[in-house]
Amino acid sequence: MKLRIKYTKTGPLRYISHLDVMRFFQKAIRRAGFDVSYTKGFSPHQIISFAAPMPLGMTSEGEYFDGEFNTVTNTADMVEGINETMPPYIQVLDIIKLEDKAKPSMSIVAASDYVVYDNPQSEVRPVSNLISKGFELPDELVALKKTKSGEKTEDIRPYIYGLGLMDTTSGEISRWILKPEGASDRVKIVTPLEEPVGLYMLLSAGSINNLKPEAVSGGLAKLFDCPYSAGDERIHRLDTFMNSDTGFASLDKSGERF
Amino acid sequence: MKLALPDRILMNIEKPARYIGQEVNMAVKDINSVDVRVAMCFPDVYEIGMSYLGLQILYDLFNRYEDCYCERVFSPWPDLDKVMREENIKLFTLETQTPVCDMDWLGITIQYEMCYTNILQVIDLSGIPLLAKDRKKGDAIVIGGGPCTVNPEPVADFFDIIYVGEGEVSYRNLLDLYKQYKNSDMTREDFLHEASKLPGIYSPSLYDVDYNEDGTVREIRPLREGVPEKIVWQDVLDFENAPYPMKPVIPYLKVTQDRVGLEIMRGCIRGCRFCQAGMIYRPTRQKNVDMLKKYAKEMLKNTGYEEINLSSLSSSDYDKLDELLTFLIEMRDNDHVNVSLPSLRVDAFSLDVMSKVQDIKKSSLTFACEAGTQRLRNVINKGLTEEYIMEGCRQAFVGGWDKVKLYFMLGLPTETEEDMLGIAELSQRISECFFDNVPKEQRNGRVMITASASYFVPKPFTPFQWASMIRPEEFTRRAHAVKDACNSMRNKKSIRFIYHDADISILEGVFARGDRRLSKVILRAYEKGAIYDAWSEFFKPAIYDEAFAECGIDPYFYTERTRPEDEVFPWDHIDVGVTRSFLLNEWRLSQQEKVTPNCREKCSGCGAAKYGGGVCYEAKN
Ligand code: SF4
Repeated sequence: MKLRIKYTKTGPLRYISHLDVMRFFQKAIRRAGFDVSYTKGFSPHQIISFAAPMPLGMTSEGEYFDGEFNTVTNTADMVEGINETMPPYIQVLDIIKLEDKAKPSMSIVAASDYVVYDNPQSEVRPVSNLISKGFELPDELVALKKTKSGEKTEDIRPYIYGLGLMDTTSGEISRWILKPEGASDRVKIVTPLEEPVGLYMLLSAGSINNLKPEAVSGGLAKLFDCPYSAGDERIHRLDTFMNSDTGFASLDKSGERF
Repeated sequence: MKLALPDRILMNIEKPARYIGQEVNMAVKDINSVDVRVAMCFPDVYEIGMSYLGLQILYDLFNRYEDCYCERVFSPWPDLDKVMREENIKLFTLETQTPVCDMDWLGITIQYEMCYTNILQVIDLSGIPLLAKDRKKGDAIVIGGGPCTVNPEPVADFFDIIYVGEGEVSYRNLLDLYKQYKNSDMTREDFLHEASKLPGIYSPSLYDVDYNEDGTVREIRPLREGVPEKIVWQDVLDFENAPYPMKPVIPYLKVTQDRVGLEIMRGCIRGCRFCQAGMIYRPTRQKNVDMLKKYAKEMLKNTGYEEINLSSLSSSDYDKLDELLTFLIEMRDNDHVNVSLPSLRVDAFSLDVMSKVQDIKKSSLTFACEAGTQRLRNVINKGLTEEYIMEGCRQAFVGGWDKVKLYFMLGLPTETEEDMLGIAELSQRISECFFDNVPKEQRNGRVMITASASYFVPKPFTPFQWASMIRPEEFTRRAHAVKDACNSMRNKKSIRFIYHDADISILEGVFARGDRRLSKVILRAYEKGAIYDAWSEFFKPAIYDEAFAECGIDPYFYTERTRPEDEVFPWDHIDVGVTRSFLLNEWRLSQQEKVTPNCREKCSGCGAAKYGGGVCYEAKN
C-alpha cells in the first residue's frame, strides 16, 4: 500500500542535511512500528522515496516522502504514533493513501511556495527594504543561475507564479504583486517565524525549472538597489505542489486520509 | 531553542549538525529544578564521541539522577575552532546550548593519549583556566575519567579530579559532596580534600612527586592528612544489573558506530601481555543472556536502528554467545535487523553465522595474530596457534571467502628478523592454503591477504610496562623489511602489507608512561597550535619537537629505557587490582617465552579477585 507523508522541518533542524533526514525517517518509521515494505535481496532496505531535497538552512512545513507499507492502521493513529518518537522540530502533519499507480512525489513536483523574511540575526534587512521601496515585479528579472556547466544569467520572471507581502502569523497576503489565478488572500502557515512580515513567493520547482527563492529576492534587491546577501534572509517553505486540472494542487491532494 | 552559534557561522562550517543537539532520546530537563549541571565531554569530533558506548552509559546514568542534568560537549572541528577564537565565542553544551563555564562540572572522558591537546582545547574554549591551580570556587570542577586515568600524570595539572575506574560506581557520592560544597562556604581545596577520600577519586593537586637525579620518580606522596596513598580503580561488581541506556541518543549525522551497541561482557580472560584493557578491566564480567536479548529488543525498538553490534574485548569468550547470536539472527530474518559481528574466533559456528549476516564476497576474515612466529606469540601470551589460523582459513576458503586480514605489531619485546620475516611467511602459507583447497573453477579472482602492522606501544599496568619501545626510524626500517619480505614471496600478488604512522605512535608511547612533567610539554604544544593530534591530517610532529626542546625534556627518556624491575613508576599510586608482582612475574615469563593460561583454564592470582566477583568466582558458583 502506497502512502504519502507530509512533514515539517523547523527550528534548529534546518541544519540537518537532506541525506540525514532520509536516514532519520528510516529509523522513525521503525520506532513507530510501521509495517514498511523492504526490498528483497541480501541487504534489504525500506521502500521509501523523498520528494525534493531541501537545502541546508531552510525550514519547511511542506515536505513529503512516499512509502510502501504492508499493512496500515489509519491516518490519525499513524500520525500520532510517529510524532511521539520525533523531536518537536520534525513532525508529521498528514498521511494519505495513494493509488497503486500513483507517480512518485519526486516526479510530480511542479511548484513550491515560500515565505522569505529578514534574518533576525542580521542588521541588513533586505526584505523590509524592498517592501519600503514599494517594489514591483518587472517584465524581465535577470538572475545568475548555476548549471552543470557553470553559471549563466537567465530571465527567471517566467518561473515566478506568485508574489506578495505576507503577515507571517495569520498568513494573510496584504498586497499581491503577482496574484496567482484563483489564489486565496490567506495562506496556511503553522510555524511561528521570528519576523511579522515576509515576502510570499510561489515559484516553479522540481527537476526541470527549479527556481530558488533567494534568486528572486536577490534579483529584486539588486534591481531596487537594496543591500543583500543570502545570509540576511531566511526562507521557510510552506508547501509543495503538483499540476492538476484546476491549477496547482498540494501534493497531499493526490489521495485521501484513511 | 536558541542556538549558541549564529546562522552566519553555522552556514559556513562543515556539518553544522555537530553543534545543534536536539537528537531523539536527548535528555530534556528543567534547568531550574536540578542542583548539579554536568557537561560531559568526549574531546574529539561529534561523530567519534557519539560512537563511544561509554559516553551513552554515563550520560544515561547521570540523567537518571533527578537532581542532576548531564549535557554533552565535543571538540569543535578545526574550522569552528578558528572562528570561535577569532570571535571570542565560548564553547557550549548541545542540549541547552549553555556555555560550559556556567556548568558545575566539566567531565572529560580520556580514551586515548592523543586527545590530550583536545582536552586543553575544550577547557580553553570554555573559558575555564587551563591549570587546576588557577581555578576558583565559581569555576567548573574539571573531572577526567576513562582508561587513560590509570596513568593520568601527563594531564594531572589540568584536572581538579580524576575519577579512576568504571564510571558506574562512585559518581553519586561525588555529586552529594559537591552539593554540600556548592551550598556552603566550603573552599575548593577542602572540597577536593574531602573528595579524595572517596573510593576511586584522585585529586592530583593533593599529591607531590619527588624525582631521582636520573629523572625517574623517587616517591609520590599525599600532601594532606586523610588523602589515601593509593587510589583504587573502581570496578562495577553487580555488572549484570548495572544501569544500561535503553534509549541511547540517536545522532542525525552518520557517526562511526551507527547502530545499537550492546555490551555483553567487560574485561577479558586472555591476558595478552601488551593489552592494557585486558588488565585494567579485570575481572571479566558477563551479562545474563536473557537480559541481553531483552535489551537488544528494547533498544532496537527505542532507536529504530537496523543494526546491532555486540561489544566486548573478546566476544568469543562470552559463554552464551551461540544462544545470543542465534537469537539475533532470527531477529534479522523477521525484523530486518543486521548483526555486525565483533572479531570472533574463526570456527565452524562463527563462519556459519558470518555467512548469514555478511556478503561473503565482500567481507573478510580477521585474525589478530599480533606476531609472525609462535615464539613471539608466546612472548606476548597470544594464545593463537598457526594450526588454528590455518584451519580457520581453510574452512573459510572452502566456504567461499577469499579475503583475509591479519593484524600484527612491530617492535614487540625480543622481536628478531625471523619474527618479521614470519609475517610474510605466514601470509604466504595462507595464500597457499587457498590455492590448495579451492579448485580453479571455483576461484573468483585471486585470494587477497592484507597484513597490517601497528607500532607496539608499551602501556602502564601491562607486563610490558618495563619494556623499551623502538624508535620511529627503527619501526620504519622493520616495516620496510616486512614489506620487502612480502614482495619476495612466491604469491606476492596475493599479499598486501600496510603499516601505521610512526610519529603519532611514538608520542602516544611518551604520554602513556609519562609523568607530571609532561603537562608543560602538552601545554606548550597546545599553545603552539596542536589540536586533533589523533588525526594524521592535523598532527604536526614539528610542534612537539619544539615543545620538548623548549621544556628541556627528552621524549625518549620515557620510551627507550628498559626499566629496572624495581623502578618507581609515575602511576604507582594507582591500584587497578592487578598487582605489580603479578605483572612483574608475567614480564619475566615473557622473556622465558612461557605462556600463562587464561582465567578460565587456571587462575594466576593476578590480584583482581579482591573485587569479589566476575570470572574469579565463576567456578565456585
Ligand atoms: S584473579 Fe585469577 S581469575 Fe581473577 S582475573 Fe586474576 S587471573 Fe583471572
